Amino acid sequence: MAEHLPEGATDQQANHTKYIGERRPRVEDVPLLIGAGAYASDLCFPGMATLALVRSPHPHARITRINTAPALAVPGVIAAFAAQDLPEILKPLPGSPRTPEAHFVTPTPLAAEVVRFVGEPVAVVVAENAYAAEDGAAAVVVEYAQLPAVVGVDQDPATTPVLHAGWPSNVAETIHITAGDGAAALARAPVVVTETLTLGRVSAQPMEPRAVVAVYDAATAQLTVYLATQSVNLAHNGLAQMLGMPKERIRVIVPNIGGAFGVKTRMYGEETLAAYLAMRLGRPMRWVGDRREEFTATNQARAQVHHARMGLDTAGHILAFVDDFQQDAGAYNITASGPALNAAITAHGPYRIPHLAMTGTIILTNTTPTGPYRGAGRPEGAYVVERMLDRAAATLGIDRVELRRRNLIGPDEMPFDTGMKREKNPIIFDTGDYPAGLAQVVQAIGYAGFGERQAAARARGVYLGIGVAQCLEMSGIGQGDSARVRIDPQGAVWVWTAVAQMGQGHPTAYAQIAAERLGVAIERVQVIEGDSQAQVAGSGSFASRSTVAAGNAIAAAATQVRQRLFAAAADHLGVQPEELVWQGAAIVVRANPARHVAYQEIVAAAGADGMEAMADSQGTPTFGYQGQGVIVAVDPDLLTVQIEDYVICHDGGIIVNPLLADGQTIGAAVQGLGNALSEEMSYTATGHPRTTSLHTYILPGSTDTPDYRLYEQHFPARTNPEGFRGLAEGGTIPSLPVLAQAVEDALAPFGVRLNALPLTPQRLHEALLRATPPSAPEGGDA
Amino acid sequence: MSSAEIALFDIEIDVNGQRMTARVEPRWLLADVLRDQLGLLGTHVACGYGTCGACTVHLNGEPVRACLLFAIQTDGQRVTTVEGLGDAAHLHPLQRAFQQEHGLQCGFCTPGFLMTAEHFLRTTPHPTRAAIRQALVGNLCRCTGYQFIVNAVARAATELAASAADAPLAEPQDGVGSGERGGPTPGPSPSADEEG
Ligand code: FES
Ligand code: FES
Repeated sequence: MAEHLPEGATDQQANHTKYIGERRPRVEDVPLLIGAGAYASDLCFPGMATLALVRSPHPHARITRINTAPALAVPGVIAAFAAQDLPEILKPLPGSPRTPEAHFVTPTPLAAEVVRFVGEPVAVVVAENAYAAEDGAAAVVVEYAQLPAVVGVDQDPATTPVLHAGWPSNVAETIHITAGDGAAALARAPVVVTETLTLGRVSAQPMEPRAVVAVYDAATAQLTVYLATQSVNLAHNGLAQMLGMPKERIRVIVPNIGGAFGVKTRMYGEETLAAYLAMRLGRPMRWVGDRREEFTATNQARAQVHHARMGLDTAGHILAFVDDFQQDAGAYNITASGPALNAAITAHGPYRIPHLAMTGTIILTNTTPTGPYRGAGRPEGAYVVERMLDRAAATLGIDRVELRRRNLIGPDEMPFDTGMKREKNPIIFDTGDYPAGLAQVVQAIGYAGFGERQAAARARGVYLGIGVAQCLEMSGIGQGDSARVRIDPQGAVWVWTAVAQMGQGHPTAYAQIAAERLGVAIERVQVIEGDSQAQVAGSGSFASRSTVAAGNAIAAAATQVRQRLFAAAADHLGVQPEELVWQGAAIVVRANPARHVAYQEIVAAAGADGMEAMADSQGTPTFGYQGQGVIVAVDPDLLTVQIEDYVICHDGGIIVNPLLADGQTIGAAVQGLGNALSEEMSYTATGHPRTTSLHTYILPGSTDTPDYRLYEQHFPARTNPEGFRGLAEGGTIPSLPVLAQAVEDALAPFGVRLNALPLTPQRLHEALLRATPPSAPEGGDA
Repeated sequence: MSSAEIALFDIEIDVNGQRMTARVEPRWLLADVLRDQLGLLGTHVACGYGTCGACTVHLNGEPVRACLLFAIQTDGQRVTTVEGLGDAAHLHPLQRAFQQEHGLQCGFCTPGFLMTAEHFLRTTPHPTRAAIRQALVGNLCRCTGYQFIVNAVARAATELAASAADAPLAEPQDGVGSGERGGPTPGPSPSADEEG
């Protein structure tokens, strides 16, 4: 690892302590370990009141009457409000459509006339504590006239009610990602495989529910909002817009976040309510969601149905890939089309696909809105292409891995222009050796000898299956970010960014970057994030973008500070900057180390402010390979799936801290495992959620999960100066198809076809009932 | 309106070796009283109904879920929270091991895991890796995927056993898992560096 210096690295960088690439425990752990980590729900201010929301029990209904008065009779209740009591903030939450043609609608903080999903807030109660607030919320009387609920994306325009006034249908938008001419190439292809593939709706379920605390200082007219958000700047702008207040009167501070995974990116109504009520009532306001609210009132994800067709020649080369898919957006299309675009692009995979046509339709339903969550479309896209390759392999009689090998883009083809464009930007795979990655996975999981092992196990009544799947993890998309680095006369180094840490390890990893590029000891570096007053531009932490965006900006700013430091030191020592190197805390003349100066002396001479630089990064995506191999044992009677072995080969580019990188990969893989095997937000045909607790929505536990065996590739990204790649989502992406493939392989003697995730016991049971044993000729879709 | 209409009761709990008093409604949960009345914020509430283990504390030395007990039930009892495990200057070997093995990301589940693991290692000083996973089955973590938590508990077990062996009077050892320390190596998973 330590040998990897980016192109253009200088001697000065090579000559001092290496931090980038060091497997280093985190500096931020101690408070978290002793119970002193300050999460939003830990904050307490004198006179603080607590909010509770009254939420719709109906998927679709008109509010005919709300009476908040009974809440006021509950001991400890301070106030209660319905939408019409809060006209100042009765406006749609921030957001904008991707294109002018798209239909777009976000919810208001409280629903005023119509509720469109179970869990949508209709009233808010303010009380002395959470007990009184909940009692008050229970006392509020809301009368509804139920409306027919729309569930599922398969909607007949003639008979389906339309959720939002002025829309011709529930279709918000249709997105297209193309390369070449997919339809024409498909028509010419000698072999065409067709399949409908479904990804169930899932929920992120960070262990800390959403939370916000707002404090208003009437004397200074300053509002401070402590918000567990992935984007301090989005929240700052959004609150200013919602409250109609100038930004300089609002400060957003991000406390420790107890997990986020994408669902704490966008704004929610509770944040505006807490901020507004803190000002209106003159008391600090706290809202801490509970687990049920995390299931009904926090954005969900996946929920896609794909109608895919893949055309191949008889030797198994992909000629065309055409996919029409629907994204269930829930009741409001709060995130426009991001996940659908990611799905369409990721469905290309690491393969040569000359002609591709992906069409995604974003459709509203009376369910909790969906939005970005770990992968945000990428796992969905990988699921589709990988499962289509599985089907193609079976149809052509070619081994699954061999078929993938024949279509993989080779290292000599890099950078590889896919022909796809996102908005106007071409999608180019920057670098990597995908065949080597696949070879590593295949070898590590023991694919070659597996057939005999499987046969021997089957003879004992044990159903083993193997899966091998892969993806490219697209990271670093979006705008670039800024970072500010300052070294002060006492020698302390301060780093400010606009990204947010929710457990990824920024305070450690970013200190490693700054310390290495600057040349100082890492102990002197403080990383400061999540404060709108830092006034650092950037959109936040999502889409595995933080280290690509903020990391490069930090490196650039730290490099600028070092250059100024060396220039001043060179003046002081009467040499050229190129003649200088670091030696501990001293800057020395390389040829004559006796001539040296302490860096603090140079900084002090620059003035009381020390030396500071602000730098930007560019938002150019990079694509890192990830392959996974898994062996499962499926019990066809108990319908359980046991993981026997799991290997991951991952190209994270230049890794800042391998310990943290491994943690991200494994954590992401376990979320993928849950998404694939047990997690599903299930709704009744009438739009009522069935899975609103951890008893019915099953997260993987310590005995459901394996010890992953990790292998690494390190191809520095070519699209950013430091060679970083995002890596927080890669673990999730191929785990959906790899597990489906392995379970299907295990149950091959029964002729089971598994097209829909997750593979719950119920789904496996139904698939076994539907299955045609393989002795029968290959039929169509069961 | 005033909360005076609801009857309040005075309770006294030994929390982390300190006598603490609180005036509580009978329905107030131990987790809420620890957090809101006694200012011990390390006990986290993630589900509120006994499924996730984030609120795990010890009641008279045994792990319990602070979201499933009324504070009034602990009147006169001994409660240990994560704050009683160690402090910044004196981390418990488990806390140290969690840091070294990266057994926490967001940290929200961590106090519960620590309290579960502390009791487990007290009763099972030489656990296998499988036994560690089994012991942690009642604690949910959404960030780490568990592997590094298991590494951390295994490392702490080794350390605690070594220091117990040094001590003149070692704690009596539970038989579970003894004699086959480890299972897979508790260290980080094997990584093969590829050229790149
Ligand atoms: S908060 Fe007590 S078990 Fe989840
Ligand atoms: S570290 Fe975040 S839930 Fe466990």
